[in-house]
Amino acid sequence: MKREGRTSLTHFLALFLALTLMIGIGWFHAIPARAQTPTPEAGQEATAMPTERPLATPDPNKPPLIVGAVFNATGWMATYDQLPRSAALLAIEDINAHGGVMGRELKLIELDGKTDPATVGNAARQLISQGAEVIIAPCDFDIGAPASQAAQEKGLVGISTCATSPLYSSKVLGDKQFTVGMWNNIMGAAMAEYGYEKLNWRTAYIVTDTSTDYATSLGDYFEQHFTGLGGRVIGRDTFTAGDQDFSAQVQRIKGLSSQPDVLYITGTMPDLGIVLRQVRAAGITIPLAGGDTYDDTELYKTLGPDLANDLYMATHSWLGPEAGGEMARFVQLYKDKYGEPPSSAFIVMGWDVIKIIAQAVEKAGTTEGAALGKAMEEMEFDLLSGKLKWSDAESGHQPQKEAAIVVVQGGQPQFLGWMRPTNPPQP
Amino acid sequence: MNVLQEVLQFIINALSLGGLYALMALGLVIVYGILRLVNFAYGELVMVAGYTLLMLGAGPIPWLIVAVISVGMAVLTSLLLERVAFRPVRQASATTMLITSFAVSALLQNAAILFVSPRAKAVVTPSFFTENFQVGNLLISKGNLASLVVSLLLLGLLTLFLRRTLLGIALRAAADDFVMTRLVGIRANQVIATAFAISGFLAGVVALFWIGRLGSVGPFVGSTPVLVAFVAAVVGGMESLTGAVIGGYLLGTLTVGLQLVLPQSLLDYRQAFVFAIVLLVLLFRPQGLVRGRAVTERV
Repeated sequence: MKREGRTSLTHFLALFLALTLMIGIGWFHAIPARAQTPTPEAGQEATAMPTERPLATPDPNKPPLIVGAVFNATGWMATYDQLPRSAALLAIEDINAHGGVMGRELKLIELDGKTDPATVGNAARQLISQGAEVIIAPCDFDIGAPASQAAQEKGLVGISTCATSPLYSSKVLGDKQFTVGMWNNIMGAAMAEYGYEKLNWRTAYIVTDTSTDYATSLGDYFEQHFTGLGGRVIGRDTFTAGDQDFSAQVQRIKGLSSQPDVLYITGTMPDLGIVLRQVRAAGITIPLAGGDTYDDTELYKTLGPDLANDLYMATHSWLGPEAGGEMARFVQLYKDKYGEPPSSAFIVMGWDVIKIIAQAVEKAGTTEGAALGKAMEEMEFDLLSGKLKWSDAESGHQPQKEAAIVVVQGGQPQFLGWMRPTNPPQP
Repeated sequence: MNVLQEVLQFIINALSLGGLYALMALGLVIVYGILRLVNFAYGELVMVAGYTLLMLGAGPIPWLIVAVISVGMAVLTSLLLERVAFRPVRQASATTMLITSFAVSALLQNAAILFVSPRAKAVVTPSFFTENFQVGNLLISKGNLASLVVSLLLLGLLTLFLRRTLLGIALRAAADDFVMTRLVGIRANQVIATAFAISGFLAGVVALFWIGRLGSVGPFVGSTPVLVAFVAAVVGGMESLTGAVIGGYLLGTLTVGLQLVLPQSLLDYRQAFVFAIVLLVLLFRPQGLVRGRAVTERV
């Protein structure tokens, strides 16, 4: 190669170094950022239709009730949307088998949002132009909000399956927008209160992933509630998703003059699994605690049965009969349709969304946005993901929910109970 | 923990991470030296080895054999990429090859998303990676120690290969002056294939330890290794194998060191500090820390 060639090559290299750094940094932040917010799942009891409701068919003379859903089928959000989707389809079958909603057949139309906010917004607009009367938004604020904004523009109700950011609020998105996921303030506070009251945690050390608001704010809410109860936070540390080496954080924890009662570590998969693995691998055996992102069988497997011990989480639901309510019936229906039991609590959020829509439309007698939204504000729902009551539109449609407290021992999750924190910090 | 222990712990962590980084950088530079190709699909070789570990790891086959197969898969993939993707564009400009490598990288990542899962999957790793042993008051991770030892060992073996074998000498000669090397009767295809095979081998070995650390593998598992390898290689000197190794250890030490010494409030900007130092190095030594022979001769 000639020298000029090499000089221009050096320029290329410089350019690509710069580009790669940007991509690299953006990547590390972007991927976890998205993965994080989506929160999972669901829980507890039953729902809408009492089991004894007789089988019936919808009235063929009435037009179908069209629900438009933007479930991402591609991109990183696919996981968090496809899981609820499977249960949403099941709920629609279940409702139609029992006569539909107000005698109308429930019909789902969907478009892929491609995990891109702009595409999600356009998909929602297209669904509305195709006749959708209610919009189901993706499981995350950043990705799901454009669908809710599109619904709000057209005066329709929009519901996110499992966004947990306090930003998923009627104050931000409009008076007809809701999320079924508990907000992070409840999630953080529930773990703090359960730990303080039931597990006698008095000191905590908090490690948060700085690359997402989900992880940072969850750590803040935990700290506020824990110290409010009388606990003491002896230190805080951070990591950045994508770093993949957390030996320094681990070294600092081991260097603490006295070990805390609990390590509250927030983040999203896959980085969360890597951090927890490195913490446990370093011989730190004190309890680890966090939010709904712990509720992932891949996370326990990443640690392996030997290390996946004393992992506490506040999450959306529990897929066992201990959860009570309609869970047992749901699990059976799910097995019948898909041939395997539901694998994640994210799944039940899809069932819950459809049941909420069905019950609220029955009560309001219409899908008109203002009336339907009003009905949703007034009702209390008994869901697979716990009892749910939204605050009114002025106070943000904050979901008043219980969190499921789960512990993992020897790689196996166990249900500890439902927790509704008293006076959780306000967002 | 007293200061001495902290320092010892730091040295072990830095050398262990640095060793992996050095192997990554070496795998990238060995191909660059001959083809002037920065192979951005290098990270996907780590991914391929990782998915092999995932698929065979849960089965009845002993882990060591699975590990050997995984490294083999990385080598095979590397050779295959050379034959299918890079050989046809070998005569084209460096830019064309660079873009080709991006295309291959995107293709493999998306294949993993489509055919495996967009999510990271947990990999069964021997408990060895998460065990420790005690020396005095110092707790040493067996996984870290192993990656430290293996990287040093491999670097030694590679040096021997490059200095003592005909193929190794041909490789180094080709890196210095490819045209001249061919004129004295060395077969280009053989030399290039060897370079890709070594590159794949290094990626495979890196994958064993990298995934042993992480405990999981996903479609983007290779993005950190390839970025680190690239930066380490640029700092060390793209033209020099020694430079790549030095760059790797430097980057590993910086990464671990800054995490320890930076105050809490600045920790978020650790990456920025690492890259600022990298930029400073490049400012004073634009060709990297170690200059390759080819460069110095031509200046």
